Amino acid sequence: MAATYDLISAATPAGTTACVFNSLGSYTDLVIQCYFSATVGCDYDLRFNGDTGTNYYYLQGSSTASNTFDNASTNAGGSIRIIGAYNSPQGGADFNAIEISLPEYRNSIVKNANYRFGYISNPASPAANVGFGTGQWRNTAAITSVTISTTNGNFANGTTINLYGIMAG
Amino acid sequence: MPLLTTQSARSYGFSLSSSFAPISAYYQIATILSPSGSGYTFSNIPQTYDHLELRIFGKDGRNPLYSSCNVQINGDTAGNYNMVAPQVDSRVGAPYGGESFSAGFGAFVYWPGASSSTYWGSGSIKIFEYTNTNKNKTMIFNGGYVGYGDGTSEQGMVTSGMGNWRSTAAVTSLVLTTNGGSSFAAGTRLSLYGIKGA
Repeated sequence: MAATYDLISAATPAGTTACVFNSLGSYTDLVIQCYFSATVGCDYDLRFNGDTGTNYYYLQGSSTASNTFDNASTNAGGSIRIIGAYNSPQGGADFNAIEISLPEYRNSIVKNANYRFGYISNPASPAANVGFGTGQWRNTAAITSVTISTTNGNFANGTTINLYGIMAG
Repeated sequence: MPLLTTQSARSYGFSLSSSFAPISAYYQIATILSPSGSGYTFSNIPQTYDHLELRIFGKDGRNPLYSSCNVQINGDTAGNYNMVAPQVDSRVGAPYGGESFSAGFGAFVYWPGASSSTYWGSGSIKIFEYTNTNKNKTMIFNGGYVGYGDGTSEQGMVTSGMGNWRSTAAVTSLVLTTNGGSSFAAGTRLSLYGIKGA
Protein backbone atom coordinates (compact mmCIF):
# COMPACT_ATOMS: atom_id res chain seq x y z
CA MET A 1 0.00 0.00 0.00
CA ALA A 2 1.28 3.46 -0.85
CA ALA A 3 2.02 5.89 1.92
CA THR A 4 0.51 9.34 1.66
CA TYR A 5 -0.27 12.39 3.83
CA ASP A 6 2.81 14.35 2.87
CA LEU A 7 3.93 17.65 4.32
CA ILE A 8 3.87 20.16 1.46
CA SER A 9 4.81 23.27 3.37
CA ALA A 10 5.22 24.58 6.90
CA ALA A 11 4.81 28.27 7.69
CA THR A 12 5.62 30.31 10.77
CA PRO A 13 3.80 33.55 9.97
CA ALA A 14 4.28 35.46 13.26
CA GLY A 15 4.14 39.22 12.76
CA THR A 16 1.99 39.06 9.64
CA THR A 17 -1.75 39.16 9.05
CA ALA A 18 -1.90 36.41 6.45
CA CYS A 19 -0.28 33.15 5.49
CA VAL A 20 -0.40 32.21 1.81
CA PHE A 21 0.35 28.77 0.44
CA ASN A 22 0.79 28.98 -3.32
CA SER A 23 2.61 25.75 -4.08
CA LEU A 24 0.03 23.07 -3.46
CA GLY A 25 1.43 20.05 -5.26
CA SER A 26 -0.60 17.48 -7.16
CA TYR A 27 -2.62 15.61 -4.59
CA THR A 28 -6.28 14.63 -4.34
CA ASP A 29 -7.05 16.39 -1.04
CA LEU A 30 -5.33 18.99 1.09
CA VAL A 31 -5.33 19.24 4.87
CA ILE A 32 -4.22 22.36 6.72
CA GLN A 33 -3.34 22.13 10.38
CA CYS A 34 -3.08 25.42 12.21
CA TYR A 35 -1.70 25.81 15.70
CA PHE A 36 -1.71 29.48 16.32
CA SER A 37 -2.56 32.63 18.13
CA ALA A 38 -2.90 36.31 17.25
CA THR A 39 -1.86 39.53 18.92
CA VAL A 40 -5.49 40.46 19.57
CA GLY A 41 -8.67 38.42 19.72
CA CYS A 42 -9.93 37.76 16.23
CA ASP A 43 -11.57 35.37 13.84
CA TYR A 44 -9.82 33.81 10.87
CA ASP A 45 -10.60 34.03 7.15
CA LEU A 46 -10.04 31.31 4.58
CA ARG A 47 -9.80 32.30 0.91
CA PHE A 48 -8.69 30.68 -2.31
CA ASN A 49 -6.75 31.94 -5.33
CA GLY A 50 -6.70 35.46 -3.86
CA ASP A 51 -10.44 35.83 -4.41
CA THR A 52 -11.84 38.53 -2.09
CA GLY A 53 -15.22 38.69 -3.81
CA THR A 54 -18.49 37.58 -2.27
CA ASN A 55 -18.14 34.00 -3.47
CA TYR A 56 -17.98 32.17 -0.16
CA TYR A 57 -20.62 30.37 1.87
CA TYR A 58 -20.37 28.61 5.18
CA LEU A 59 -22.31 27.01 7.97
CA GLN A 60 -20.83 26.30 11.39
CA GLY A 61 -21.68 25.36 14.94
CA SER A 62 -19.73 25.97 18.13
CA SER A 63 -20.00 25.51 21.84
CA THR A 64 -18.47 27.63 24.60
CA ALA A 65 -17.32 26.86 28.12
CA SER A 66 -20.69 28.16 29.35
CA ASN A 67 -22.46 25.39 27.47
CA THR A 68 -24.08 27.57 24.86
CA PHE A 69 -24.31 26.08 21.41
CA ASP A 70 -24.38 28.62 18.65
CA ASN A 71 -24.36 28.67 14.92
CA ALA A 72 -23.27 31.03 12.20
CA SER A 73 -23.67 31.15 8.48
CA THR A 74 -23.00 33.39 5.54
CA ASN A 75 -24.66 33.43 2.19
CA ALA A 76 -22.26 35.02 -0.32
CA GLY A 77 -19.60 36.49 1.93
CA GLY A 78 -16.05 37.57 1.26
CA SER A 79 -14.46 34.57 2.96
CA ILE A 80 -15.11 31.38 4.83
CA ARG A 81 -14.89 32.98 8.25
CA ILE A 82 -13.96 30.63 11.07
CA ILE A 83 -15.68 32.40 13.93
CA GLY A 84 -14.68 31.95 17.52
CA ALA A 85 -11.39 30.17 16.94
CA TYR A 86 -9.55 32.74 19.03
CA ASN A 87 -8.31 32.99 22.54
CA SER A 88 -8.18 36.06 24.70
CA PRO A 89 -6.02 37.44 26.16
CA GLN A 90 -3.56 36.77 23.41
CA GLY A 91 0.17 36.43 23.40
CA GLY A 92 0.48 33.88 26.20
CA ALA A 93 0.99 30.16 26.16
CA ASP A 94 -2.51 29.33 24.96
CA PHE A 95 -2.89 28.49 21.30
CA ASN A 96 -5.82 27.74 19.03
CA ALA A 97 -6.13 24.76 16.75
CA ILE A 98 -7.88 24.52 13.41
CA GLU A 99 -7.90 21.64 10.97
CA ILE A 100 -9.20 22.29 7.47
CA SER A 101 -9.84 19.64 4.82
CA LEU A 102 -10.04 20.59 1.13
CA PRO A 103 -11.11 17.60 -0.95
CA GLU A 104 -10.75 17.54 -4.73
CA TYR A 105 -9.04 20.92 -4.75
CA ARG A 106 -7.76 20.49 -8.30
CA ASN A 107 -11.08 19.29 -9.71
CA SER A 108 -13.18 21.66 -11.84
CA ILE A 109 -16.11 21.69 -9.45
CA VAL A 110 -17.51 24.07 -6.85
CA LYS A 111 -15.20 23.63 -3.87
CA ASN A 112 -16.22 22.28 -0.48
CA ALA A 113 -14.16 22.65 2.70
CA ASN A 114 -14.68 21.15 6.14
CA TYR A 115 -13.08 22.36 9.32
CA ARG A 116 -13.04 21.97 13.08
CA PHE A 117 -11.46 24.23 15.63
CA GLY A 118 -11.07 25.05 19.27
CA TYR A 119 -9.29 26.89 22.02
CA ILE A 120 -9.09 26.88 25.78
CA SER A 121 -7.49 29.72 27.70
CA ASN A 122 -7.16 31.25 31.13
CA PRO A 123 -7.87 28.24 33.38
CA ALA A 124 -8.65 30.53 36.32
CA SER A 125 -11.60 31.91 34.41
CA PRO A 126 -12.07 29.48 31.57
CA ALA A 127 -12.76 30.80 28.15
CA ALA A 128 -13.20 28.17 25.53
CA ASN A 129 -14.86 27.48 22.26
CA VAL A 130 -14.99 24.39 20.11
CA GLY A 131 -16.71 24.07 16.80
CA PHE A 132 -17.02 22.66 13.35
CA GLY A 133 -18.16 23.91 9.99
CA THR A 134 -18.46 23.43 6.28
CA GLY A 135 -17.74 26.04 3.65
CA GLN A 136 -17.94 26.54 -0.04
CA TRP A 137 -16.05 28.56 -2.61
CA ARG A 138 -18.45 29.02 -5.50
CA ASN A 139 -15.86 28.71 -8.22
CA THR A 140 -14.91 25.75 -10.37
CA ALA A 141 -11.29 26.80 -10.91
CA ALA A 142 -8.59 24.59 -9.49
CA ILE A 143 -7.34 25.90 -6.17
CA THR A 144 -3.80 27.12 -6.70
CA SER A 145 -3.35 29.14 -3.53
CA VAL A 146 -4.80 29.15 -0.04
CA THR A 147 -4.80 32.18 2.24
CA ILE A 148 -5.46 32.09 5.97
CA SER A 149 -5.63 35.52 7.55
CA THR A 150 -6.57 37.16 10.80
CA THR A 151 -9.51 39.54 10.97
CA ASN A 152 -7.60 41.75 13.40
CA GLY A 153 -3.97 41.93 14.46
CA ASN A 154 -1.06 39.74 13.49
CA PHE A 155 -0.31 36.10 14.00
CA ALA A 156 1.55 35.78 17.29
CA ASN A 157 4.93 34.24 17.97
CA GLY A 158 4.81 30.47 17.99
CA THR A 159 2.19 30.20 15.27
CA THR A 160 2.65 27.27 12.91
CA ILE A 161 0.50 26.45 9.91
CA ASN A 162 1.24 23.23 8.06
CA LEU A 163 -0.09 22.14 4.67
CA TYR A 164 -0.40 18.43 3.85
CA GLY A 165 -1.34 16.57 0.67
CA ILE A 166 -3.23 13.28 0.50
CA MET A 167 -3.44 11.03 -2.54
CA ALA A 168 -6.40 8.80 -3.39
CA GLY A 169 -6.38 5.98 -5.88
CA MET B 1 -1.39 44.27 4.42
CA PRO B 2 1.77 42.26 4.91
CA LEU B 3 1.56 38.82 3.44
CA LEU B 4 3.73 35.85 4.18
CA THR B 5 3.95 33.29 1.43
CA THR B 6 5.80 30.04 1.57
CA GLN B 7 8.31 31.63 -0.76
CA SER B 8 8.66 34.83 1.21
CA ALA B 9 8.87 32.81 4.40
CA ARG B 10 12.02 31.26 3.05
CA SER B 11 13.36 34.71 2.15
CA TYR B 12 12.80 35.74 5.77
CA GLY B 13 14.87 32.82 6.87
CA PHE B 14 12.09 30.41 7.73
CA SER B 15 12.58 26.87 6.58
CA LEU B 16 11.10 23.42 6.79
CA SER B 17 12.57 22.14 9.98
CA SER B 18 13.02 18.52 10.93
CA SER B 19 10.21 18.93 13.44
CA PHE B 20 7.83 19.04 10.45
CA ALA B 21 8.79 15.68 9.06
CA PRO B 22 6.17 14.16 6.75
CA ILE B 23 3.46 12.11 8.38
CA SER B 24 4.02 8.85 6.54
CA ALA B 25 1.69 6.86 8.73
CA TYR B 26 -1.23 7.13 6.28
CA TYR B 27 -1.50 4.41 3.66
CA GLN B 28 -3.94 4.15 0.79
CA ILE B 29 -5.99 0.96 1.02
CA ALA B 30 -8.64 1.52 -1.65
CA THR B 31 -10.58 4.20 -3.51
CA ILE B 32 -13.79 3.86 -5.49
CA LEU B 33 -14.78 6.62 -7.89
CA SER B 34 -18.42 6.89 -8.99
CA PRO B 35 -19.72 3.76 -7.26
CA SER B 36 -22.92 2.39 -8.75
CA GLY B 37 -26.14 1.80 -6.84
CA SER B 38 -26.82 2.90 -3.28
CA GLY B 39 -24.16 0.98 -1.40
CA TYR B 40 -20.48 0.17 -1.61
CA THR B 41 -18.48 -2.28 0.49
CA PHE B 42 -14.81 -2.11 1.37
CA SER B 43 -14.17 -5.78 2.06
CA ASN B 44 -11.13 -7.80 3.10
CA ILE B 45 -9.71 -4.81 4.96
CA PRO B 46 -6.06 -5.53 5.86
CA GLN B 47 -5.64 -6.16 9.56
CA THR B 48 -2.18 -4.60 9.64
CA TYR B 49 -2.92 -1.00 10.64
CA ASP B 50 -3.78 0.62 13.95
CA HIS B 51 -6.69 2.77 12.78
CA LEU B 52 -8.75 3.43 9.65
CA GLU B 53 -9.89 6.64 8.02
CA LEU B 54 -12.62 7.03 5.44
CA ARG B 55 -12.50 10.19 3.35
CA ILE B 56 -15.83 10.83 1.67
CA PHE B 57 -16.69 13.22 -1.15
CA GLY B 58 -19.96 13.12 -3.03
CA LYS B 59 -23.71 13.40 -3.23
CA ASP B 60 -26.65 11.21 -4.18
CA GLY B 61 -30.02 11.36 -5.89
CA ARG B 62 -32.33 11.93 -2.94
CA ASN B 63 -33.69 15.01 -4.64
CA PRO B 64 -34.71 17.46 -3.28
CA LEU B 65 -33.82 16.47 0.27
CA TYR B 66 -30.57 16.63 2.15
CA SER B 67 -28.84 13.29 2.28
CA SER B 68 -25.88 11.54 3.81
CA CYS B 69 -23.41 8.73 3.43
CA ASN B 70 -23.83 6.25 6.29
CA VAL B 71 -21.36 3.66 7.55
CA GLN B 72 -22.03 0.15 8.81
CA ILE B 73 -19.46 -2.36 10.01
CA ASN B 74 -19.14 -6.01 8.97
CA GLY B 75 -22.56 -5.92 7.34
CA ASP B 76 -24.35 -5.30 10.65
CA THR B 77 -27.61 -3.52 9.84
CA ALA B 78 -29.21 -3.96 13.27
CA GLY B 79 -29.49 -1.26 15.92
CA ASN B 80 -26.11 -2.01 17.45
CA TYR B 81 -24.72 1.47 16.99
CA ASN B 82 -24.89 4.60 19.16
CA MET B 83 -24.08 8.14 18.09
CA VAL B 84 -23.79 11.64 19.49
CA ALA B 85 -23.73 14.13 16.65
CA PRO B 86 -24.25 17.86 17.31
CA GLN B 87 -25.20 19.48 14.05
CA VAL B 88 -26.25 22.66 12.35
CA ASP B 89 -29.15 22.38 9.99
CA SER B 90 -29.94 25.38 7.83
CA ARG B 91 -33.49 24.16 7.31
CA VAL B 92 -34.44 25.02 10.88
CA GLY B 93 -32.01 27.90 11.30
CA ALA B 94 -30.69 26.75 14.67
CA PRO B 95 -28.24 24.15 15.87
CA TYR B 96 -29.08 20.95 17.61
CA GLY B 97 -27.27 20.85 20.92
CA GLY B 98 -26.52 17.24 20.29
CA GLU B 99 -28.22 14.12 19.18
CA SER B 100 -27.84 10.75 20.78
CA PHE B 101 -29.54 7.70 19.42
CA SER B 102 -29.32 4.09 18.55
CA ALA B 103 -29.22 3.54 14.86
CA GLY B 104 -28.56 1.06 12.15
CA PHE B 105 -25.28 2.78 11.32
CA GLY B 106 -22.46 4.26 13.37
CA ALA B 107 -21.21 7.31 11.52
CA PHE B 108 -22.23 9.54 8.66
CA VAL B 109 -21.30 12.53 6.52
CA TYR B 110 -23.96 14.92 5.24
CA TRP B 111 -23.96 15.61 1.54
CA PRO B 112 -26.44 17.05 -0.99
CA GLY B 113 -29.34 14.88 -2.00
CA ALA B 114 -29.56 16.23 -5.49
CA SER B 115 -27.54 14.70 -8.25
CA SER B 116 -28.33 17.67 -10.47
CA SER B 117 -26.80 20.10 -7.99
CA THR B 118 -23.40 21.47 -8.85
CA TYR B 119 -22.45 21.30 -5.17
CA TRP B 120 -20.80 18.55 -3.18
CA GLY B 121 -20.41 17.42 0.39
CA SER B 122 -17.41 15.91 2.12
CA GLY B 123 -16.08 14.66 5.39
CA SER B 124 -13.99 12.07 7.15
CA ILE B 125 -14.56 9.21 9.58
CA LYS B 126 -11.88 7.67 11.78
CA ILE B 127 -12.29 4.19 13.22
CA PHE B 128 -9.98 3.51 16.13
CA GLU B 129 -8.26 0.21 16.90
CA TYR B 130 -10.36 -1.63 14.38
CA THR B 131 -8.55 -4.94 14.93
CA ASN B 132 -8.78 -4.89 18.74
CA THR B 133 -11.09 -7.69 19.87
CA ASN B 134 -11.27 -6.42 23.46
CA LYS B 135 -13.01 -3.14 22.68
CA ASN B 136 -16.22 -1.96 21.12
CA LYS B 137 -15.35 0.12 18.08
CA THR B 138 -15.28 3.90 18.31
CA MET B 139 -15.59 6.33 15.42
CA ILE B 140 -15.28 10.10 15.19
CA PHE B 141 -16.53 11.98 12.19
CA ASN B 142 -17.28 15.39 10.77
CA GLY B 143 -18.42 16.85 7.49
CA GLY B 144 -21.21 18.50 5.61
CA TYR B 145 -22.16 20.63 2.67
CA VAL B 146 -23.40 24.07 1.72
CA GLY B 147 -26.23 24.34 -0.76
CA TYR B 148 -27.47 27.92 -0.60
CA GLY B 149 -29.20 28.82 -3.81
CA ASP B 150 -28.56 25.71 -5.82
CA GLY B 151 -32.27 25.46 -6.55
CA THR B 152 -32.57 21.76 -5.91
CA SER B 153 -30.93 20.82 -2.66
CA GLU B 154 -31.50 22.30 0.77
CA GLN B 155 -29.31 24.96 2.23
CA GLY B 156 -26.80 22.91 4.09
CA MET B 157 -26.03 20.70 7.02
CA VAL B 158 -22.87 20.03 9.00
CA THR B 159 -22.06 17.79 11.93
CA SER B 160 -19.21 16.61 14.09
CA GLY B 161 -19.86 13.49 16.09
CA MET B 162 -18.85 10.26 17.67
CA GLY B 163 -20.29 6.83 17.19
CA ASN B 164 -19.65 3.35 18.40
CA TRP B 165 -20.42 -0.14 17.27
CA ARG B 166 -21.26 -2.27 20.25
CA SER B 167 -19.20 -5.24 19.16
CA THR B 168 -15.67 -6.35 19.94
CA ALA B 169 -15.25 -8.11 16.61
CA ALA B 170 -12.44 -6.96 14.37
CA VAL B 171 -13.58 -4.73 11.52
CA THR B 172 -13.12 -6.61 8.27
CA SER B 173 -15.54 -4.71 6.06
CA LEU B 174 -17.23 -1.33 5.87
CA VAL B 175 -20.51 -0.75 4.07
CA LEU B 176 -21.24 2.79 2.89
CA THR B 177 -24.84 3.49 1.94
CA THR B 178 -26.82 6.50 0.84
CA ASN B 179 -29.67 7.91 2.86
CA GLY B 180 -32.97 6.50 1.63
CA GLY B 181 -31.51 4.13 -0.91
CA SER B 182 -30.89 6.60 -3.71
CA SER B 183 -27.91 6.08 -5.97
CA PHE B 184 -24.48 7.63 -5.58
CA ALA B 185 -23.95 10.50 -7.99
CA ALA B 186 -21.27 10.22 -10.65
CA GLY B 187 -18.10 11.82 -9.32
CA THR B 188 -18.60 10.52 -5.79
CA ARG B 189 -15.32 9.33 -4.27
CA LEU B 190 -14.98 6.97 -1.30
CA SER B 191 -11.43 6.42 -0.05
CA LEU B 192 -10.13 4.18 2.73
CA TYR B 193 -6.79 4.71 4.47
CA GLY B 194 -4.88 2.74 7.04
CA ILE B 195 -3.04 4.57 9.82
CA LYS B 196 -0.01 3.24 11.64
CA GLY B 197 1.15 4.66 14.94
CA ALA B 198 -0.60 6.08 17.95
